[in-house]
Amino acid sequence: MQLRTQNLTKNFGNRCAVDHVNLNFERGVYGLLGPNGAGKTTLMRMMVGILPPSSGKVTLDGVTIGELGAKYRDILGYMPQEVGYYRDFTAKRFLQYLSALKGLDPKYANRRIDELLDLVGLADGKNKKLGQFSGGMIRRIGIAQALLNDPRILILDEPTAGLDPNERIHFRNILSELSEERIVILSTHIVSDVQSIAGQVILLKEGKVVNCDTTENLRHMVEGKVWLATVTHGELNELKKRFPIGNVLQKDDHFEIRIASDSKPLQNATAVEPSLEDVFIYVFGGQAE
Amino acid sequence: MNLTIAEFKKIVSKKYVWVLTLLLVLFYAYLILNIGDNFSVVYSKRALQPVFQEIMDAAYDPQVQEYVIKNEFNVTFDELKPVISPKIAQTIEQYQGKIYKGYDVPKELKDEAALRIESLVERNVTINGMIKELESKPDTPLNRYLLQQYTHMPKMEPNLTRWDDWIDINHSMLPLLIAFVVILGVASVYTGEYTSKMHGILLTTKNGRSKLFWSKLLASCLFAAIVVIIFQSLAALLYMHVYGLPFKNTPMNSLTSFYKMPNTMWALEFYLRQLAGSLLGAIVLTAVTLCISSLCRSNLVSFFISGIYFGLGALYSLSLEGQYITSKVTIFADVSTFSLMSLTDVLGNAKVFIIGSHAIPTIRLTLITQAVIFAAALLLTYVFYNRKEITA
Ligand SMILES: Nc1ncnc2c1ncn2[C@@H]1O[C@H](COP(=O)(O)OP(=O)(O)OP(=O)(O)O)[C@@H](O)[C@H]1O
Ligand SMILES: [Mg+2]
Repeated sequence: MQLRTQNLTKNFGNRCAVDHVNLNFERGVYGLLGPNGAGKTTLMRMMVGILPPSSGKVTLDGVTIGELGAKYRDILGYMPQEVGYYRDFTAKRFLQYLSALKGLDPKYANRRIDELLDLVGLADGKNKKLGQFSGGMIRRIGIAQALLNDPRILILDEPTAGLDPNERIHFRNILSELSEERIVILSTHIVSDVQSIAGQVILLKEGKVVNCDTTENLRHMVEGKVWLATVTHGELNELKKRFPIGNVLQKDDHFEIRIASDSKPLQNATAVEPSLEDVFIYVFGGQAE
Repeated sequence: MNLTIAEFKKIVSKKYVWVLTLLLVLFYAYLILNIGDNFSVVYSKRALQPVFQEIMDAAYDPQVQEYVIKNEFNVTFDELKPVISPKIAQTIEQYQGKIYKGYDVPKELKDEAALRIESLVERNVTINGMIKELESKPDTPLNRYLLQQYTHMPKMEPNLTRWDDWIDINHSMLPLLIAFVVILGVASVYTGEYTSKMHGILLTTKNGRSKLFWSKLLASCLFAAIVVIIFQSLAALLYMHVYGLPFKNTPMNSLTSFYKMPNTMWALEFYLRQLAGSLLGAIVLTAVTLCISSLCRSNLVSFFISGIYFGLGALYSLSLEGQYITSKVTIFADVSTFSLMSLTDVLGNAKVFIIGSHAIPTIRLTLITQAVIFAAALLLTYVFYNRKEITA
């Protein structure tokens, strides 16, 4: 199974949200990493076939997803960035409705729904109306609905946004438990989400793919370009203008900071082992979460 | 879970649909019952029932006709008495002031009877006059049509059967109420998916495109059909209570509002066609509303645009005077969804549209137009729903 984007492009007016993206997905977990407005959502919408590209195409094993139609959707699970739901449906009824849309056998569906509600920790709330759910609970329902048909292609747009730290860890465990025989693509601007689970990380900046590699290789890319330094408040402000700064840690009246720079930025700076977060800072030049 | 049932539940689970429907039902009932309280409307119709046959016979008597015409349609019963057969006069006098089938037959029965006889004679004379006139007129498609219709007109009957009230059920108020509720329920079928942001998820599921489209259509049509059944039964019950059931089939042409129209249909047949038109019209309206819904972003906008679509046709159609020719201008009213739901103007007046050397019954154009609108609406809905870019 090979999911490909070929010169995938989307223009909104004269603004290019996704710019000639060529990606190749085979089984495994892919992290789509990029700051706000990088084009993650736009790219994913085109990949699930709900936004027609301005040019380029998405193919599965050489056939465009448009041609595949229902066959493609049958093996697809999608969770949008903003999860839609019906306020007056209970969690269970909502998932039953989506099971029907996904063409699942009702008996199997009911078993699967209980399983998934358990998995996302909402077994107690299954008869509660979605209108009473918190934002994080809705996102968990969003994850559950994407998994209903046991999809071989799972596309999740910021699945961890709004989840508390426990749920975030729980979610990572869910993802890593999913069998290997599938393509999982998740977008995020939170580095720690992809660090542990994504086999491959795609760095997206202003609609273009900057890099697509394993976490390990990406870290190698910035080796020797990440520095640790202790500075004063005044120095920090000065440095902020010149370098991307990450991870500011206040210690008494000093600040311990990480600086991304091709050469040594300060006399007292020491090169450190880069983390994925440093890659983010290096590439996107801003503060990572 | 069955998708059609799920979609149907989505429509009927909206409280405002039922609250407004209930209010409209009460409003309509109040309206009709109030007309009923105004007893004189009903009174004259019921009063003549015992002498129904006698009046009719009198009106067809050439001697009576001659007398009435000679006196310029202004005669009293006592003046008529020598001309009409003694048996008729006897029966009328016998029931006067008595109780018949639970009704008080009024003292003025005589005057009422005379009026009826006159009006019936007038109708016969009018139509005979029209036939004569038409025979001498040039042979145009319209004249040919009118001559054909008027010569095949069923025999006139006194208008006592309550059919003119029953025919009026679907004239204006009821189609408007049905349309309102149908639009209310259906306008949000697609916009609801957009506003709840479900659209993106739906479109990525296996059955979320064409199967869901058909389920939504079926569920909406089911809703429309139920609304039609509710309102038509309610109207029938109310009219039964206020006016009573029509006790005898009668030619449309005997009804006051249609008696000069080239209509050869019978009232029962017409009423049944109105019921069918009500259902078909509601279903076309459902398809159009779905189409508008699939195109709009908010429930309210979808509701208003659908309302304007129906309302414009209704307003235009209701503004037309009773006439039997569809002109190039009035055709837009005559082929409207409202016209199909009402049928009173288009079919009641037996309208025709003249094309070249043919007089085509307008109802055919109405049906064809509405079928085309229905098909086009479905096609567009499918396209809009599937093609709508998800960008929000
Ligand atoms: N419907 C639209 N019309 C115009 N511009 C749009 C539209 N949708 C997205 N954009 C623009 O395209 C760019 C990419 O947006 P997109 O939502 O794909 O980013 P993202 O990476 O998902 O951001 P975030 O992390 O905030 O979700 C942005 O600059 C955005 O302003
Ligand atoms: Mg996004």
